[in-house]
Amino acid sequence: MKYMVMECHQAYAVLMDEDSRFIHAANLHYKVGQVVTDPVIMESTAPSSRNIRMIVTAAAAACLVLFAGTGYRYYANNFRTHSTIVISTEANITMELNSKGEVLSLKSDSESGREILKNYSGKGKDKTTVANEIIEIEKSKGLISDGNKVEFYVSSNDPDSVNSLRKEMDNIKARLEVPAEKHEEKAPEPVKPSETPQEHEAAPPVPAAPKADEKLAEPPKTDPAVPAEPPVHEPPKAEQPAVKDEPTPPTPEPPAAAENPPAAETPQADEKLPHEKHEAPAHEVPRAEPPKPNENKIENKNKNGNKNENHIIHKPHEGLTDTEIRLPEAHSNDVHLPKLIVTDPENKNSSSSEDKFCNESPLPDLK
Amino acid sequence: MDPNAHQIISQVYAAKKDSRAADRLIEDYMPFIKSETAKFLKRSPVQSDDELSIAMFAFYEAIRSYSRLKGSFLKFAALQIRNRLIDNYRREKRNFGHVSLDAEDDDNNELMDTIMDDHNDYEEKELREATKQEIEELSAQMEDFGVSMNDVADNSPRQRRTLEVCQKAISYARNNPDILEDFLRTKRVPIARLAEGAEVERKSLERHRRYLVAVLLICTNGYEIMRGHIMQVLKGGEAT
Repeated sequence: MKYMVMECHQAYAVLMDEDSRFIHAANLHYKVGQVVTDPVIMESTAPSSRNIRMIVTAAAAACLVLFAGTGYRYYANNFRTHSTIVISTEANITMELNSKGEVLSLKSDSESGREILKNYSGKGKDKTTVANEIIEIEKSKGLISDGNKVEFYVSSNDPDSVNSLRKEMDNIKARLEVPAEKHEEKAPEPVKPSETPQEHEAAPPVPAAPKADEKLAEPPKTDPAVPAEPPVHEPPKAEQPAVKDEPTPPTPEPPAAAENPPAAETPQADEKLPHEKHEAPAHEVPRAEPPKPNENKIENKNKNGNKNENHIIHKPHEGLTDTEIRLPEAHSNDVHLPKLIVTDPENKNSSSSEDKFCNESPLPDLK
Repeated sequence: MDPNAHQIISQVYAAKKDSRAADRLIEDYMPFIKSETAKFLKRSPVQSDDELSIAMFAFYEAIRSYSRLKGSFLKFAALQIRNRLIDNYRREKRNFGHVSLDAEDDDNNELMDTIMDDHNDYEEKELREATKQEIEELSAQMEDFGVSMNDVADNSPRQRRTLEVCQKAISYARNNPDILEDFLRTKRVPIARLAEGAEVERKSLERHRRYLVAVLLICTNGYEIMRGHIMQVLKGGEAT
């Protein structure tokens, strides 16, 4: 393009191009009226189209990063597996949860579990709801029955979430053991007429079910290596009416400890529960209270597959604060929660002494 | 802050508005401009060096684009000069493999002298003188309208679409001599009539009023040389 020199200054010249545009350019020894080509044109002080493109690109990139970050966070909160809970029954169903605790998917490696999941999808539901529903389904299908044990394995990369999930599982336990709570309410009543001086007991008012006293007389059948499982045995059927129907003291089999107050005040080694024998010394059992120390096993599984067993001993007569927790490993993300005993709320007679045993012992606080 | 810095900044801000103040400032700082050019050339520049002209132009650019947020003016100007000289060096590097027409042979004859030239120097000089007279006349007439060449250069449309809008209005005015007569008589650009007649946005024309003054003046009187230079536009054809 040709440029006509319209005005010359010391440092610059005003040129007019063939499009009738007037521009500033370097005065390379130009003279007015001269027609020149290829001048050094002044860069526009206004933001050039290149700068505008760069600004637009940068803004678009910033928006993209913002949206991507928000999207990733939304994805991580809602669609990424944050923790896993395995309901260890015959069906062996695994719940994958997001960070909100909602079920993302349900899996099972067993045939019966897959059969359940064909007709049930708990996606988007809360974990406790799904766990309860699955257990109900398993009960209805006969996969589990009264007295069976349901174990929950919680796994997460976040140690804090393991604790919170464990508390959530407490709710599951509470829901499952509604009839068992009724047992607890009625349990103290039979103790009253036993003429045992329980008023002066310093322990918290833990219900003293007379059935548990029978366990004291039973020989320890547990293996110390597996203390979490309470002894499975059928309680004497005469006990059940005492708990469920009779508000009056249980006459059929008065607890040995109740009948013998001195023995309760001075605990003997023979009166210790079998679970307690390898953990608690004999003098830790002051009286023959029915809900004797419950030993639950918390099993930590590392990702490498190593298992660490934490033995937790509850001493109801001393309250929860006396819970002894021995943690071989300080922290672990996988926790094997205490076993739960499934009871049928309709069939109260079917509740065993083990039911009460488990009901009376709250889940240990993990530290 | 250095009191001299305040003085320079005030001078720079005055030079932004007044071209004569800009010329004075450039004259005052010629040693600085030469110094910066010498740093790049690794020698003292002479007046005929294109690099010195480009350095002065870069200094003028620095005056126009400077703001207090950009720090010291002299450092900013030095950077502008250096960048411009580097750009010019890269642009001229394309011609490094070519022989200059001004190069002399062994007999001290310039190459240009050995090439047959169809140009008639005399006619060319006459044409240039005539063009210069036209431009001087135009500048004088523009002063009556309160418009300078610098103003027109600052007000000239840069976007293609805006240029086409202005060209439509100019073509409409050329086809309607009464509009040009009114323009010369009233010394005001008939923006409303142009916008209505050319069917363009009035706002676009108002933004480039000073530019329209210059081009409409070229269209009115006997500025044949300049009209010939921008004939494509005046014909109403699409600008290239």
